[in-house]
Amino acid sequence: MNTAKRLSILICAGALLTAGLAVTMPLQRGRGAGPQQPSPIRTAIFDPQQKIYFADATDRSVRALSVRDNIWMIVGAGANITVQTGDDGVLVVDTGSGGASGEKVQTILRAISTKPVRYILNSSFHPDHTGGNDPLRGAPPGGAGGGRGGGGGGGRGTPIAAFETVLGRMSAPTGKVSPTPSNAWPSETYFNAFHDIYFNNEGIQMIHIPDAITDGDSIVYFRRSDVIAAGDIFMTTTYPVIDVKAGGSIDGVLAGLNKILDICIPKEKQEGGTVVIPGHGRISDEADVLEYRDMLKIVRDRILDAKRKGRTLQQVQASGLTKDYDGRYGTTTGPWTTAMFVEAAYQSLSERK
Amino acid sequence: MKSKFILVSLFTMLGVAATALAHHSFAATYDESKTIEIKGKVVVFSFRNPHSLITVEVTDNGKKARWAVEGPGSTQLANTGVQNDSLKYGDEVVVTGNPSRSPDETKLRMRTMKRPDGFSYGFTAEQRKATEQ
Repeated sequence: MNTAKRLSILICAGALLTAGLAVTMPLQRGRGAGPQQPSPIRTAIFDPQQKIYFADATDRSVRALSVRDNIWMIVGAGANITVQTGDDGVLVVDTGSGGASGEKVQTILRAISTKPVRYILNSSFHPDHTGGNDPLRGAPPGGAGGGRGGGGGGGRGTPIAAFETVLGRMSAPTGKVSPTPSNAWPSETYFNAFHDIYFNNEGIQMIHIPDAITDGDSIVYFRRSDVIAAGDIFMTTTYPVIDVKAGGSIDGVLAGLNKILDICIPKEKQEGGTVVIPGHGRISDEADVLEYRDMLKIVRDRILDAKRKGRTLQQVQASGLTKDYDGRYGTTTGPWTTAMFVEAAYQSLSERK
Repeated sequence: MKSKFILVSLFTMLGVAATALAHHSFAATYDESKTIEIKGKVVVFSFRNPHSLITVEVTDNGKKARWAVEGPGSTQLANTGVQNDSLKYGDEVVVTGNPSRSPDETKLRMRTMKRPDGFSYGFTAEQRKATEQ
């Protein structure tokens, strides 16, 4: 084989590689003029056929799926992260668990957009939704660690919006030990039914759902994109993880699911249309939420009926009231078992209703 | 040269108008002849210019009410030692100030504020000394 042939084979192989996998290098377009810190070389890998960004070539657990136009969903880093991109910068709903997976989230964000994270919205105070607040918010622009490129934090001024009780549960009064670092705390809280934001040429509504998974849940509605980030009020993987100690209740979750259904408009035959991003699980539409709501309503009525008849929690747990749904949502192991869900539902239901 | 002058004038006018919207008169909004005291829990602290805002949740006979406490801008507060992290969610505070001219409004122009741990704002050295005794 002569040199010319070898060269042409090499060029062809290179072109094929490029067509198959678009490797996106992080763009060092720092906003601030601060000192650049040496950062590890990170690349995100894009699969153009599936429209998926992978944070890592070998470990593909953290990835971003295209939802609609400028909306993405990052999975594999705790709770699902909804990402909206545009000229104003990057807006995220929830920030995952943080830690090692948080770095992968930042790698993906840098690939999706060259702009920094300008807005963070928290749907809950739970650590799998807020663990990445601190690193994503980043250091002050221009200061130590500042001046980072796209996907990095916009600086300590980056607002974090959440319902008021989220701040209460993540912080502590003066003199007491806070459960989370102050840089992770919401800086923009609301206490009434709605909080409106206009970002990237789109109206965004944070809608408070009282006493659902916790007492501080929000669903986030992107009005132009017609996408709802539902937080843990809707999940496709398990029964709702009701945190009774933090003010959650099964009736609150049902009210939240009904609110989502009020907003959803299906395209045709009850399919498509408004996209719903669950707290955990796959991208969904109205039909998926409807199925989940019906399941929860049926289970709720069964538990309430048993409670009214004087059954104890142990009797209710043993009576298999969720049996027909356990194959889909139940589990006997892990952090949220069916027995734990039944206990939470039982405790939050009032016999008087 | 003339067009430059017009442009500069236009931007100055726009700037003044924008500032005027946010920077209102205290005397027109609050009755400076009256002083009241509220005691409650800090739920929001907006450390900003031209006026900072503290929302205090006051519980009276089991009924909760939110008071909007307006104070000096962040620059002025910083000059007195108050920083953006000086007040945290849940801090118990006692605030004195001038009430709104409209009797139905639960808002206040802050004159003094103190916290049980000794943090305070708006007191003279003598007043602080007297409070400590």
